[in-house]
Amino acid sequence: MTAASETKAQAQAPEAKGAAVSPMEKEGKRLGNLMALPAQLLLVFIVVFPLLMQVYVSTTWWSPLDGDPWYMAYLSWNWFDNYAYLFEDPRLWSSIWRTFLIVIVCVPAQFFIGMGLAILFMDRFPGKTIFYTILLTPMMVVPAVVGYMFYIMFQQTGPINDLIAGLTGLDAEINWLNDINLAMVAVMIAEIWQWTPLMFLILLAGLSGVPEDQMRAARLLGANAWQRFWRIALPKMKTVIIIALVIRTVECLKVFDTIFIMTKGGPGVQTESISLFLYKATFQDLEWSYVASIGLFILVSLSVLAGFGIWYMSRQPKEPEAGRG
Amino acid sequence: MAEIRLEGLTKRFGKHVLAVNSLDLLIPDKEFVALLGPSGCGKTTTMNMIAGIEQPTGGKILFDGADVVRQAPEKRGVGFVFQNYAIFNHLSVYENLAFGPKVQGWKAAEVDRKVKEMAELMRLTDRLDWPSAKLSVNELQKLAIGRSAIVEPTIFLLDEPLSNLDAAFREFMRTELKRIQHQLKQTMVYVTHDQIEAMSLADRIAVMDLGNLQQYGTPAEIYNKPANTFVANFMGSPPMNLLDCRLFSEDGAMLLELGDAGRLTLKDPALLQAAQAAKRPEVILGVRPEAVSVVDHTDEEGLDMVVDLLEPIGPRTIIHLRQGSAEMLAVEDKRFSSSHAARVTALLPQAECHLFDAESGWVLGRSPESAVGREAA
Amino acid sequence: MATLELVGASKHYGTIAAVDSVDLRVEDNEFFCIFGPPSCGKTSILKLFLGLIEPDRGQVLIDGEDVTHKRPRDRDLGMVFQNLALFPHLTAGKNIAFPLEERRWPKAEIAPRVEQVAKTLHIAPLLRKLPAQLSGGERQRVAIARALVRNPKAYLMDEPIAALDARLRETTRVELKRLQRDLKHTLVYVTHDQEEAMSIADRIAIMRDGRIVQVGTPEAVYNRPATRFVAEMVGSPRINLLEGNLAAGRFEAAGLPLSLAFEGLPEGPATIAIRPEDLALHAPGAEPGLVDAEIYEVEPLGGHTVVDVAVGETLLRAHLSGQPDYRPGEAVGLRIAQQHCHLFDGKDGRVLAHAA
Repeated sequence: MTAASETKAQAQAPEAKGAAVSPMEKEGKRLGNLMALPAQLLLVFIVVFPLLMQVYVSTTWWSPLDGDPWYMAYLSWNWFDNYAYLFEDPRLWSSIWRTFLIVIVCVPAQFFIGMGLAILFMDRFPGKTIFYTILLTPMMVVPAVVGYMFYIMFQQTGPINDLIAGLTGLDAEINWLNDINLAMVAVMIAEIWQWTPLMFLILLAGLSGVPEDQMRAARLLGANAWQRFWRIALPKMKTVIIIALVIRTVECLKVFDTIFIMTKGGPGVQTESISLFLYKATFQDLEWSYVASIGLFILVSLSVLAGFGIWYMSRQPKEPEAGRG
Repeated sequence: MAEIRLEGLTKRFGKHVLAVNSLDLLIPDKEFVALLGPSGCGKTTTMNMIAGIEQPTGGKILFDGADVVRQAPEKRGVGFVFQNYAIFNHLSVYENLAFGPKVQGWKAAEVDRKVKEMAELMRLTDRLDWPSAKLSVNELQKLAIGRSAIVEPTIFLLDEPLSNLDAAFREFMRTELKRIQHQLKQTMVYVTHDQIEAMSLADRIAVMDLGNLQQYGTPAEIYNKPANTFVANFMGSPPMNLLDCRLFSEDGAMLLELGDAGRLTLKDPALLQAAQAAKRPEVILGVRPEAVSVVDHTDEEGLDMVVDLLEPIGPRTIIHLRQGSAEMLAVEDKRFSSSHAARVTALLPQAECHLFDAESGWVLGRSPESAVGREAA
Repeated sequence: MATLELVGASKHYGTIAAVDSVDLRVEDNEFFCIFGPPSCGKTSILKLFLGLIEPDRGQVLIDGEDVTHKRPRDRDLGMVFQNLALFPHLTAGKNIAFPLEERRWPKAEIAPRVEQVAKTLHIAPLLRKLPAQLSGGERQRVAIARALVRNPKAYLMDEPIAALDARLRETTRVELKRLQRDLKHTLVYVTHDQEEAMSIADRIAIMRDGRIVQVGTPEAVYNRPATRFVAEMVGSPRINLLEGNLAAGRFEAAGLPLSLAFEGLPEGPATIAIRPEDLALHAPGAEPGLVDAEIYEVEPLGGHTVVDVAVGETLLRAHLSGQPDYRPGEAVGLRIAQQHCHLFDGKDGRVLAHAA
């Protein structure tokens, strides 16, 4: 420490005679608490208040159509009727299962394509920077625009059908977005296209973080490329892989914009995700208190899942017993 | 049997950085050769090229006469110990040792037997089921050597393996490494910036600076007959005295003028021969501090110096001498010798003196080729 | 110009004693080294002097005045840290001027003072450079200049040259020694490098586990170690230790034929210590009293040679002048002269008898 910083830290410190903690240490602690206070207050307003409001509204029949402000919602108090209803609402549950289907298909697809690309990009090859830039573009496009792009591409007379026709020589006139099965395929393709780059980026960062000298050491011990990947890189990327999968799963559960533009959830409700369902319930049916209860229900379910995930990840590897050492 | 021959080995990074410049070196079978030099001298790059981690820009690397430049590193069969050990820290000690045998497809029973044998040799048996991340630095170092040695490479490369160890363990490992080399009977190439390590361990030392080989020879050759002022200054602790002086002749005798410290008449035939080879009168006189003797009164021809400082370092004492701009060190094999007068005479035995060209720094009286020790390569 | 003193000073962190009832007096104008293995409490002693930590018990005195509860800035000490702690965004000159500006010196006096200090340390041409543009040795001198510039009562240095490479350390320590000699200031210097401590200190305090084991001149610590620990810590290569037993006025070494007379000492396990340079090698059987031995390993170091000698299972290190020609496996006769042997108690490591 320099003479200067000594002075600063000591300037306001009262003398603590004979105390085990020096004045500097004590002062630092108090200052730290004070500095954290504004952030704590902000947290209360941003998180705690809206949450309480949601809990309150979800136990009523309140709707903006009633003409009462939200805090008067107690007039239509119904305890847990909303919650009872949501367990029996077939449209909600079908949207939930549909969303899970999208996650189960898209996230692994993004992972494997992203990992493949990341491995490819660990090597040097001509035009690498250009390809890199091109690869990352989809991620930066506004999701609504992505939706619109794929909306056009999957038209009955759109470029996808032209491409299929060109490849197979058949006269392809597939009505993608209005077919009860194919609409889902189209939506998934758009989702995979847009978010593989993020997966690629995270995995590439993870792969670059694998200590190069350990990879070299493995190589000099005779390990081929596959052995080096499987025995060294993959185990070391465990955390990054988990993070990437969690981020993409959470994001994918919220999928909305692309679907909204491409199919509006149709045909019928065949591509309706949770978010889309909530949107419709809020702005078409104006069932605000019901939506509030669904929101809370999903929050609690996901928290339980996340809590389990965090517990699983933070498990300590078994310690060697000291006695044996 | 594994002899390494480097022919015109060159490595450039980009257009401007010449990391290794046309290096010729013969590392005989089962010899322990140290690549020695300051950081950035090209020693690590050279070793990386031998291992195949880096591709040379030009030149050949021959293992027993076969060029391996195009061979992938995993096929060259060299053992490599990294400076930071590069232990697989997600694996246990056992798994680290077993890594090489496993990827090379040994039978499970054979792997197990060999791992236990190596653990015994490296004194790691009671650590086998530990996560390697929990080992001490000293143990990591032994694990790193064991992990490479287990697959029995004929060529063993070590990159500053002792530099992270504490002083006492380093001293111990120096002897230990020599013992391991005797036992494994492998060709060992050892990169270090520590001249003491190189001197004590190696059969031969290649001193490098700025990508160029400065000298190649046995420790004694390098120490006693430095090829240039770089080698003279790099080897030894304290380093060789390098004194700026002027050559001139008077009454048919050759003399050296050493500024304020006085002058010396050249008598030793080798030194006279070196003086005759000088192209200009400005030369550098080199003499090892331990060759210099410091006496209070004498009739012999010596240099008049003032005792500036004494540095006792246990068994020896370093005496700092100065006179005007001339500074010189002398080392006495005595503890705490403080009995010197303020003004003393420094006697330089001419048989142990060297003359270097003041401009190029190369030793006079020997051709640069023979000074470097190229004929050995 | 100051004496620094600790009287019965202790500092605990939880149950661990960083400093354990230490009494220490650093004399005026003294180059005083505190030497010991990592985390033996040497840096804590500097912090006690500086006031960065307060002792749980005991007193800190500067020039005889009790400063135990004084704030660091009122103690008027200069400090150089191991990591140097230079401000990377300020030039060398600004770094050196910083303590003066902090203490609101008149501007007109700052520049000449900085110049003067820079000249003393041969860094005058570097004042306009940023720390990143300086070499390790230069940065280190800037840090020293910053400590010197205020002309404090005494300087404290915590391994200031540990990060430099070996050659630079050798030259820098000599410069430090010269500087201290010329400035005539009290300097307390912490190091874990025994050669550094030996070569520059007027006196050395050797620490272990928060306690001071021995204080004395380099010569005293080297030639008359108070405990086996001191004998082992000081000197390179390490001192040779031979375990054995004291009985009936004789020391019998375990595992090798060595028997020495030590009268009037308590019986029990004991250790003989002999410096590597005190071992002499002869042709086997050349004179009476030689121990039969075999060369195990030879380490030529240029000016001297370290030879590992095996006597049965025991390895001893000998430090020989010049470049003697020994080969591993060669039979030699080893002279272990009694006048060179220290004798330590086998249980607590106290010295029982010093070498002559």
